[in-house]
Amino acid sequence: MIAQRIDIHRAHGRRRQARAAQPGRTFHLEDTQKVRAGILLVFFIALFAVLLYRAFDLTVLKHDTLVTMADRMHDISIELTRPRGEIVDRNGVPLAVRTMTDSVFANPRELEDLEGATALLTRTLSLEANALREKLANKSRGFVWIKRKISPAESAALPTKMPVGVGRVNEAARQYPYGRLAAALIGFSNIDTVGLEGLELQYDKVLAGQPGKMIGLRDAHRRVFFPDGVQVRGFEPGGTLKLTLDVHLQWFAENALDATMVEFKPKAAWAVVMDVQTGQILAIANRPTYDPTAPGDYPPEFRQNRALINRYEPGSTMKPITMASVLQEGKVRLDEKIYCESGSWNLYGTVIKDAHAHGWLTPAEIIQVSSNIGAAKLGMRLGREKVWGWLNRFGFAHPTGIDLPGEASGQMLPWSVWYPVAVATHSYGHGFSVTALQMLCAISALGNRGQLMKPYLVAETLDAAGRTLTRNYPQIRARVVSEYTAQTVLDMMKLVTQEGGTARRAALEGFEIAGKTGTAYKVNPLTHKYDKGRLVSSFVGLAPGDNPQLAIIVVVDEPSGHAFGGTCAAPAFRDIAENSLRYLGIYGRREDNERPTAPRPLLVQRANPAPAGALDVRVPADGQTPNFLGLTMRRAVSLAIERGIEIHPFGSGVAVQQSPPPYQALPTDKVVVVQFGPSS
Amino acid sequence: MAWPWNRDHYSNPDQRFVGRIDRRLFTNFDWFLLLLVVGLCLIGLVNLYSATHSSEHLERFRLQLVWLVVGFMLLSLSFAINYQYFENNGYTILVGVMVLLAATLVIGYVSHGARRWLNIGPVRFQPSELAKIAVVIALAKYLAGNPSERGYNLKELGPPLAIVAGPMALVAMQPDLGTAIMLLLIAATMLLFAGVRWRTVLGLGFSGAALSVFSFLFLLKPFQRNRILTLINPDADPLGAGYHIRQSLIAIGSGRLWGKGWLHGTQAKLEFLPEAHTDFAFSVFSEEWGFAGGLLVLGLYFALVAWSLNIAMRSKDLFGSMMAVGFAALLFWHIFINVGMVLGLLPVVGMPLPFLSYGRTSLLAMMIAVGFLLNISSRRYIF
Repeated sequence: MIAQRIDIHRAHGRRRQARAAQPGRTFHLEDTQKVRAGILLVFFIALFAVLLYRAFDLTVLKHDTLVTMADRMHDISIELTRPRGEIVDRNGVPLAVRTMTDSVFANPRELEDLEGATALLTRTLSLEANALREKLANKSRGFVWIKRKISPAESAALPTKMPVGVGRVNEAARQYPYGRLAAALIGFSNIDTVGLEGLELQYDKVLAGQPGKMIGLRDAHRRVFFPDGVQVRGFEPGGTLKLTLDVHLQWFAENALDATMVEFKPKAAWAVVMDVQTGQILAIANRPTYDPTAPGDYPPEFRQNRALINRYEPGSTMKPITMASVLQEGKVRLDEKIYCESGSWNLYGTVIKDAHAHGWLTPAEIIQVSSNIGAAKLGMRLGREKVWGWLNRFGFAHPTGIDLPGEASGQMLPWSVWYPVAVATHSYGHGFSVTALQMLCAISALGNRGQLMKPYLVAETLDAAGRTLTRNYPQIRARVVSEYTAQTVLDMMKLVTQEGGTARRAALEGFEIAGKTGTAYKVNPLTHKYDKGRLVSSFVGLAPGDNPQLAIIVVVDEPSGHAFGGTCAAPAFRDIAENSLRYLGIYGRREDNERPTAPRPLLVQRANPAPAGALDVRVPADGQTPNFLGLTMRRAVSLAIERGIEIHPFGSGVAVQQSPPPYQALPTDKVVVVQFGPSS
Repeated sequence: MAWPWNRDHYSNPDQRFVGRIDRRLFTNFDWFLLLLVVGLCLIGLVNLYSATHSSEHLERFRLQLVWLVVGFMLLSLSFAINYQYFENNGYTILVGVMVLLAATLVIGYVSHGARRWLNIGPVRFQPSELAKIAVVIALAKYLAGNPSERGYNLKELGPPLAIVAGPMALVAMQPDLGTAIMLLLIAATMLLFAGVRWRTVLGLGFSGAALSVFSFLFLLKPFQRNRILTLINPDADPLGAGYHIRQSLIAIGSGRLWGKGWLHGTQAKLEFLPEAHTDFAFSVFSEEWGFAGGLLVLGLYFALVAWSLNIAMRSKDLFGSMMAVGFAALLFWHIFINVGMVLGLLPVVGMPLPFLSYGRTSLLAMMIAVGFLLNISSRRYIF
């Protein structure tokens, strides 16, 4: 056996004969071959090491770049709507809120049962079957929205387990709890909740927040998957916008305009209510308006915030401004009389007419009866350069700087190119255009001691957690006229709503109202001439007149029936003022009112300063008579009302005598007799 | 009738019908090798499931199970028949395989622009995979029968190279450049092990390098040239030729140290990775198991190759040694070329990764190779 085995090995390995005799182990590799086997092993080890190093390099050292490449390739994020923050009024009443709704999407490439899905979605979402089927059958798209922001009822109708290839995701939607209220002001946002108009546009950065993103995967064929279910990441609600607006006042204004729209059937009407002393906008109403949830259903002009955008010729509402300018320049005395040409005045070939013929009028009467000729004559005392300068100073031809988009600035030619007659026409508000907001600000300055305020609408912006981001404060743009001038013109404007004025309809029981009507012909865009058939009627006023708090302007565009400002705008003004004053708890100063409001002490002391040294500044103790000596009758009456005593005045001029004398014990009937006479 | 697997020529000179295999075959059985292969096959199955579970290729996971069973049957067969039997029939087998290769060129089934498949009845297979086994056996036979004391010189290299040249040419005509190069690499490894003179090695090395440059410039088809250029700069054409490599690198790199976890890889699932279940199996595995997984698999492969060399060292005869070295080379070059390719070190050639890639003929050929290694290892004390 052994021999045979050795023979076999001899046959195959001639060189190994010598070793073959060893028992048990008959064959050994030569040493050189063992070395070569070792070399081979080392070679293999080396190449394995190369592979291992490369694997380490890729997985550990270079993974960041490679992972980024991978993510860029297959991560897909579908941006959802932005969770816009709330818009609230000054009392926190929400005007625009965020709600969460479902949106339905599909993945046509994953869809298994096209007909089943079509039937389900058609039934529950009330969609058109053919269009939907076409959408779902389009396999070239990986992701497609079926219907966004479905109603809660539709949500409930959908099965919890959606068919393969169809899904839903919760996303933010916009709701306007008050519907059309302040629609043109608030504006609206689109389907992706990006602000497009109004405050929604202007404060998009504050409101928008971070949109949620649906994170999915995309494969090499661009199909989209949601392997871990639909997950939304990065959702950060937007901040809150707190307005100076008051929902109630807004509602009063819109109601008043609705009544105007019904009664006078104008093309449009708009109104603004502003806080005289701060420039805070309390209401901006526009008619016609639109539904902010379906802005596309309305023509663009319905969505305009006309109070800021529409330019119109102000007409007679400009006269108080002219009066203030002339007074401030010292070009008129309050007791002088101006001849008003019996209602018709040919100036440089242009005939200026008044509504009613008047002869000689005092400045106050010019305002009261709204005489164009009187205003023109006053303006001409200044000259065109100064008229132009004063209009600019009151803020005309410049944006007011309100925090809303798209504000117009009005049009006014530079004085150097004015025709000679333009000085006259500008003085009674013709030949240039303004916005309602500009006019309101200018008139408010007269009620605010001559200070022109910057109007603003946003009180604060807050982040989602309620922390204040920015806060707006009242800002004085300029002190345009002195307090005395402002008070004087204000007093003249009170006459407008009184017997003999042009706006009796603006008068309010229990209050003094300072205001001014305005009626202007519109320029026919075809003929470029004034069209006697088309009016812009307006009324601007301050209430209460003796302590102005609310400035209200109402503009009625093309009222039917040739309705002047005193006819159509003044009643709307009165409605707004009456409701607002009552809502705000502001009382007038007539005797029939139970709670007189305190006069502003500053005005009382400075309105008509007495000669230096004559004014006694001592404050009488309770139960003592005040010092009326040196005061005008007007201020004496104010002081008496303030002190709660009755005054029996005699004569005219300043107080020269009083009984009992100053700082004496008050009589039991609290009556002080004061003798007025020429001041020494 | 004397079937080769029923008898043992050498241990039973009496031609006694044993009916049972020699007991020593089991006492010396190479359990370690079998364990390595079974482990790799299981890893392959786990990985294949991940690569195919979300695609239309899931059917292939079930098929792979079938082929694994068939593979282990073939492994048993190539283990059971004494390998020395093939020493006598080495050239016959080679000629047989060459006939199949020639037949493939004529009646083969065309897929992906190459005529590589042969249908015999219901079975379709790639004769080029069998060529690898046949070349190892024939070359081992020649080298064991014609040892050279001082190493082969150029003249003596003629016959062994001729043995490889035939199948290589037939495979290259399919065309299947990868397998042709594989045959050359296996032959080269075996020859270097058998011993080649330094002068000859250097001479052939230089002329080989010159030939490579020449082939690159004039012989290679444009798509083959592109693959090599892409290797140098994969970003040159990220959607074209560089796409495979780029996607593979992304898959491996995004696995990081510990991987994304089984079934959590995205490159294969989202079908960015082409051929995820075949040539790029290692990328899929690396993405899901990270560097740790890659280390495990490469470690197992290294153990397999090193163990094969160990078998060659311990073989009872030179033919066994040569065969073991040949199969070690077969395994090693497959592993190196495939992993090198998916790691972006080597050009893209269709080279399956042993036991991990899906692929019928390749798996069966590897099983046969392992069967032979077990055969040589377990019979080292049987004479």
